[in-house]
Amino acid sequence: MTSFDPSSDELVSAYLDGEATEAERARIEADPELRSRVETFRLVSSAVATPPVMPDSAAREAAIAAALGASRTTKKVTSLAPVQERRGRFSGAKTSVLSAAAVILVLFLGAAIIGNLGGNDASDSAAVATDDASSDFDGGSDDAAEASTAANGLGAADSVTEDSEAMEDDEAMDDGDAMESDEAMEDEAPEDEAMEEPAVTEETADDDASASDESGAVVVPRTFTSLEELTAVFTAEAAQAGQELLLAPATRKRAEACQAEQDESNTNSLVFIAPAMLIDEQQVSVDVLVYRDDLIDTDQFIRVFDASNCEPIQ
Amino acid sequence: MVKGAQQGDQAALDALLRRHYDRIYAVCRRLAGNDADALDGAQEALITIAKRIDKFDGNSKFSTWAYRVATNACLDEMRRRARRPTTGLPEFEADISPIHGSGNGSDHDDRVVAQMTIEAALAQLSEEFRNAVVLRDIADMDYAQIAEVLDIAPGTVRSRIARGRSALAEILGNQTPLLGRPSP
Repeated sequence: MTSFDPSSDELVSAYLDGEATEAERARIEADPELRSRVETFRLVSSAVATPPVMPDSAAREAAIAAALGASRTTKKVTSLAPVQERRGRFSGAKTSVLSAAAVILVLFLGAAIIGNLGGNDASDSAAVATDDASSDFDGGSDDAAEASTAANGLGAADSVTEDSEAMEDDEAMDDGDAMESDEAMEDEAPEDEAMEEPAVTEETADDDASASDESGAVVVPRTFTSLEELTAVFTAEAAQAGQELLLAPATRKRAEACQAEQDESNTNSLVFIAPAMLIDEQQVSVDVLVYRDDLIDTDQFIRVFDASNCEPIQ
Repeated sequence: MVKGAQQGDQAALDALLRRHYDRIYAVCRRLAGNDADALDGAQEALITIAKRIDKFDGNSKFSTWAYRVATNACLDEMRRRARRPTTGLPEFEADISPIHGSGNGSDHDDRVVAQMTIEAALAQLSEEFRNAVVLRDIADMDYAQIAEVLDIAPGTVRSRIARGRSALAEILGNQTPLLGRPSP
């Protein structure tokens, strides 16, 4: 195995990329060994640059449809009341972490979003509370108590945003989600009002519904104890709106596997959370988060998300 | 087309996304090394572009901006997955989404083999080297752009790309069909 001088390789690589200086170029062109190395690197570069085998067109179409749907998505403050209602199923730190997960979900969604398929169910609409504690969720269970403090603010009645700037703090979110959240904050015309108001009134919820209808897209975070429940509810609501519910094969497969594992163990060890519905005219794509109860303590949870290759649920 | 998309023209946005999907997927595929993550990353990238297109100021080529956004989205997707291990849960990555090529026969088979080979080689690189090499060779970014995306100094980009290529040359050197000839 031949070893090469790293500094020479830097020159060669920069030369290949057109990033070498005049002096560096002259040096390489005068040296046969370096020129040979350039050719080797050129072959490597070409191999890397060879386009990969592309996915089938369904994946492309699904991705584009999801992006178009997302571009029309209205971002609203939302309720996680269903999460709170179900917190009784869990105990101690698990509950706290799950609550924190709910908070991070809201952050993940890029500021809170509200709506429902028909725009008729105002009861789901409420403000969501966040505070800086939620930003520590990724820190694991040690932060559960603190995060729980934030999560305890969830719900329609006592939702209070203690620090609206927390939503603007990139550090409070996953790297990629920060952009979405920034976007959400910028896109949302009444953002300050939404963040400062402790709760969204029914009248506001109606406004939200109108906005959702106009945009043709809504996002609804809700929790379910089984995949069947989740799909049944969303299928029914989609049908009510004249739409077809889509669940990506990968999403469905993993969720079903989690469900099977839960069934096999004869426990309610999982909670299925569907935080996002991307509606594109006649189709609905659902992101499903599956939290495993016995892993949630250690902040190990899976994010099941794949809206590509969408197929109708049987 | 970009202006139309920025002004809410869905047809224009559709055309833009369609035009750039292949390259975006390619970047994600090379970064992720598997189809499932690449599909997720590419979709996240498209969603991000669609949401943020009004932020594009026209100071650079749209493709440069789009690939930068896409790269960040793909890397973010990978980091998110890395932070959320699926320990103890079934793993289905291998059979989630079979690759469907547009071609048939031996050409397609050769491409698949070449893809597996280069991805296996890339997988042996550390993430920092792999990212730099992929952004250069697939996304066609210059060193300054890569530095911005990866938040490192341009000099570091230069070093990482060189070291990445050097490692790939050694790895691929014995696989003559792909590299053409062994490294000297």
